Amino acid sequence: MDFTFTEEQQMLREMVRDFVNQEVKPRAAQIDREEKIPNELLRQAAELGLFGVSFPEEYGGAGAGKIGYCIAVEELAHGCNSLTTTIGASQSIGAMAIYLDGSEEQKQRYLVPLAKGEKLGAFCLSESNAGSDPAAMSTTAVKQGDHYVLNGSKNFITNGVRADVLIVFAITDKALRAHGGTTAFILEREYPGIRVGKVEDKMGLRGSDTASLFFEDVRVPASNVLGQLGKGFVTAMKCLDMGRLTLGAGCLGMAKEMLDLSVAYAKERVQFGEPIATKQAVQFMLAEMAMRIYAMESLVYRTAWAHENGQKISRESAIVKCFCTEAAEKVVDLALQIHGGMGYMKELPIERAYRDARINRIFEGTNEIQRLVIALDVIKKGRY
Amino acid sequence: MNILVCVKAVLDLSNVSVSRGQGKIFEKGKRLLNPFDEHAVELALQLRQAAAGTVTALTVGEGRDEDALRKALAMGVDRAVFVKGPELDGSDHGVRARVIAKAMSALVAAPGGAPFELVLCGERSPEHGGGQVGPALAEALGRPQVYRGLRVRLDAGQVVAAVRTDDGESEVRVPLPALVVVDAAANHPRIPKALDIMKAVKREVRILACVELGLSPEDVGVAGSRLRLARFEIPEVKEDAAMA
Ligand SMILES: Cc1cc2nc3c(=O)[nH]c(=O)nc-3n(C[C@H](O)[C@H](O)[C@H](O)COP(=O)(O)OP(=O)(O)OC[C@H]3O[C@@H](n4cnc5c(N)ncnc54)[C@H](O)[C@@H]3O)c2cc1C
Repeated sequence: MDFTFTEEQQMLREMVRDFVNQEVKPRAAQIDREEKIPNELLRQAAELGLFGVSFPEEYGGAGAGKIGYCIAVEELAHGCNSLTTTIGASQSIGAMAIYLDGSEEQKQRYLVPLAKGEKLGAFCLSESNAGSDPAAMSTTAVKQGDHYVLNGSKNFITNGVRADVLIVFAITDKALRAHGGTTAFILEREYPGIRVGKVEDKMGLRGSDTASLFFEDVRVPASNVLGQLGKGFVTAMKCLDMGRLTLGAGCLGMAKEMLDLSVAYAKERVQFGEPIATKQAVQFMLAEMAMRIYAMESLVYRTAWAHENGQKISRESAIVKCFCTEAAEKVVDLALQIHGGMGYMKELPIERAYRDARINRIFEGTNEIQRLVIALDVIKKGRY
Repeated sequence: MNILVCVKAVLDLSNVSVSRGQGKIFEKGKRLLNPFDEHAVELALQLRQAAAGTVTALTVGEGRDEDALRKALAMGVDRAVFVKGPELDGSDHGVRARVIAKAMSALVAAPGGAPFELVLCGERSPEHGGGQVGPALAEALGRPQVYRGLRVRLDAGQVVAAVRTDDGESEVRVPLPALVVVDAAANHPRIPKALDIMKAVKREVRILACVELGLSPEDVGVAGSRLRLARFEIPEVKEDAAMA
């Protein structure tokens, strides 16, 4: 067993950290306030290769694998969760679908510009009546000659406003639905009939756009069927494995940032004549944070390693997602407590992290759904 | 136009543990490219773009100092040279400057070698902070030196630079070949791209040993140095210190 990061992994971490410290942190409050990530910042992230960290070089990526990608996400989350989510949705679940199941031609046409960050991707699975139960979706795709005609709508789609390439899941066989009747399609934003609906006004992640999308007789070339006809659900679940793992990495980065800020504050803030770090109650909070961070880090990188080595990680990524999102929320809460009244103020990044952290227990499958996945797997196996 | 950038590896102070008792610093990760040298690398890359040529990064040290060269490669230098040997440990600035000068001669004399018209150094390192290697190297090479160049360009065989002075700036012109000590305010060093990092780790680093340079163990390290480290002490961390 070897837990040391390779030289390139360490260099990658240093690189993203430099980018976050120099370019992201100074803009994070503004991104939250103005509800928009500056195009220039996205361009810089693209130039550094942050939209394609895990994909091979021949597809426009950096070839740093799943571990490298988790490192990049972790470091990004030190600075801005909205940026992390924008990049993550495009890469972990949007572009990932094409990487995993796309044809060579689709990879050249769509994955390469997504990995280079020249285009932004979105993953469109949820609908207003199909959240935890995506099998209940009602968007349909009907074959007409060499095209499919899509009708329906998607709800709460990250990058729904900005994305150029949409991975859309639709029913192609009403009798089979989730069991062989759902298909993934690649849509270009310019296809006639795609309309952005409501743009959500959210509690957190305010720089990441979330919107509903409407599809009215959208003609999609049959060559844009992603993967096998009827196997869209398999594609979606494989993407979510990766999405859940990297969400854990994001939680880890955010939690580390919260601990770093809290330690510095506890050593500096004097009450009753001495730094509050000398108080056992504060020390115990720091210990609670550190314990959770260590556990998160262990989960994230063990699972990334397993994935990198070709192991199936459906249950493990559910564990990572569930544990890390809850641990991170607790860590942010403790950080706010250590900062006292200051923690509640927008002047510090903790208030923003507190709002940002809350969504993590909901998207990419709620934590109740993760527990279902974990429990059903354990029951099926009859042991750990 | 061939440019040599002298770089140094420094400790990543965010990733070390310090033992006062043993008087030692234990490193837990890789070393960093001296942040002051990043400005020299950046200037070299900008000048290369303006005047077609190559940039070679060179470091003098032992095993793990190679990390600095990897970062320079990721930033975009063409070649990396590592003058490596345990006997170099403890070398002072004078020894380092002589070793670099010898290495330059060896590189120029090697097949396909070409002279380095311009040598760039960082202002200093955050560790000892002496800032002596650049000036000592100019002396060893017998070249004019531009000290703490802020805005540096090449013009008809000359280096034209705005340099930092005690009371502001002044402009200097020196003929090539020359050496420039680059000021830390000269530029904003680029952040390497993810793909370039992945490639940098696989690229060749040319290793030179002291014997190849005609240097014996007595010429380098503590033996060859005029500066002696009398004592290394890690100060006690005290709560009540105040900065005046
Ligand atoms: C900011 C944001 C970004 C998003 N981005 C995307 C995106 O890019 N792409 C995309 O496709 N979707 C996206 N979503 C949608 C997200 O995945 C869903 O919100 C999520 O899956 C939950 O669905 P729901 O909101 O309909 O909640 P519901 O499914 O209605 O759940 C309500 C509650 O019931 C519980 N529940 C439901 N079923 C069960 C069950 N069987 N057992 C126990 N409890 C259950 C849930 O856990 C939850 O507590 C996003 C959502 C948000 C808020």
